Amino acid sequence: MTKDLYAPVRIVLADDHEMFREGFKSLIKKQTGIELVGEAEDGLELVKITGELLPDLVLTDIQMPGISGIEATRKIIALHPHIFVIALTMFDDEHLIVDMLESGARGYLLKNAHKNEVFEAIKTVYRGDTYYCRDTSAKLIHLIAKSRYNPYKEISKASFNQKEIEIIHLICGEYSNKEIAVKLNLSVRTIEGYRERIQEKMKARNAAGIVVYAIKNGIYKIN
Amino acid sequence: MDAHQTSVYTTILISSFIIGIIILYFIISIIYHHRRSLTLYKLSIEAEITTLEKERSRMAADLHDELGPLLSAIKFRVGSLDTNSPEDEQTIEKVNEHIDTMVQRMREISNDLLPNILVHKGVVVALDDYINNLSKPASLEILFAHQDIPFLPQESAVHIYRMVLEIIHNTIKHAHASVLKIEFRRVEDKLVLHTMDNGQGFDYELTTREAKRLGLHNLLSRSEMLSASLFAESGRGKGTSYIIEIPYNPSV
Repeated sequence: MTKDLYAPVRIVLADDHEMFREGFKSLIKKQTGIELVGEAEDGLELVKITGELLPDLVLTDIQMPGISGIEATRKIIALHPHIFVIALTMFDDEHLIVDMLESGARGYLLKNAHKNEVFEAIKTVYRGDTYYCRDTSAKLIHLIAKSRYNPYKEISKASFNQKEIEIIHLICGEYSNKEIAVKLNLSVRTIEGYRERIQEKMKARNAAGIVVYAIKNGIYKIN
Repeated sequence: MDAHQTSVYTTILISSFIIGIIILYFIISIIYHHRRSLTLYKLSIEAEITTLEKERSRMAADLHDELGPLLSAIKFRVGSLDTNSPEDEQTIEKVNEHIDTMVQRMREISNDLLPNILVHKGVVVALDDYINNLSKPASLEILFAHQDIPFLPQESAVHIYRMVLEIIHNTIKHAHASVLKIEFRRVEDKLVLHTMDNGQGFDYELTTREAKRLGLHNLLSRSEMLSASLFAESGRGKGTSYIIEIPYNPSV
């Protein structure tokens, strides 16, 4: 399927708090390239208007009255597999994120994410990649890695050279660029370069993306 | 003379009978009042616990459902501001940082009140999460095993969760143990919670004050509210073990 990359991304937002939707709207309004075409205040309404408006992307809360974001995502993906879903989560819904991903969401954002992160998530998922919020905890990465969720196509490990694999392992071990540089006796600049190349190959946006990819593809094993 | 003697005996007999009845009446009424006050005491503790849990649940929900989205909305609103002044830009960043700190604090408070994970994923997942994230002395190892535990109604889940937390805290604070084993399994129509530590133990009979300190009353009250039976076994140098048997009826 081809997409017009210059046309604005049409999104639908679902959340049961009007205040939150209003705030989100004020953020999106000024951003070119993203157009909010519809809003829903519960899961049922979301499924209904998604069918009518056929947006490119859906951003939905997880806990909503009636049917939850999890159930709504499952329904949307079953009916319209080309529509991407991003989960919006409150600070203590971490354990529900895995359920969202298993239902077919392509990424998630914490509701207190920075505006740049919101735009980045929308663009990344719209391109067909996956997006994990920058604040993703190690605990959540492990939960995702252990879950049935796997958006990645089988790739060969050979597409990463020895050095890259070594660095991936260190990133998975929660080492910072600086620490990796010291460990491998390289400059921080060089590590940054490696990191960028790794992210590009994995189509990951941050460390969380690298770690989930590495675990899902068997590059890094967790106990 | 005989008649006089008989009447004296009769008088003594009757008066001792009356005195006996009066004493008996007092004894019975003392026992009755004692039982009554005990029942009332139990009821008031149970009411206290119920109120406490209700309030906790309400506050956690308010934080999560009302203040949370409001804070996000504020962050988005602030994010939508356009400014060319670097100073204002800095102010916006600072506001964002403050909001993040508030969200973080709210998360901690709401989690202490009633973990969201307990409501949604049940007691086993919540306990697993709690144990994994617990900051405990490195010298103590906590092993948690579970089998066939169904998803329980929130009320029972909360009691079980709090009881296990109480036991964990006691072990950390008083037991000087190196291992705490927690087993939770379903055995026919019962859920059996069994905990064992290899610490210094305590003398249950000797020190009721100790019992109070260890929150045993809390464990007892919550057990009673679950219609569970609680067995505690401990002795100086023998470690402490608890067995809590909770009746479970899947059709209810």
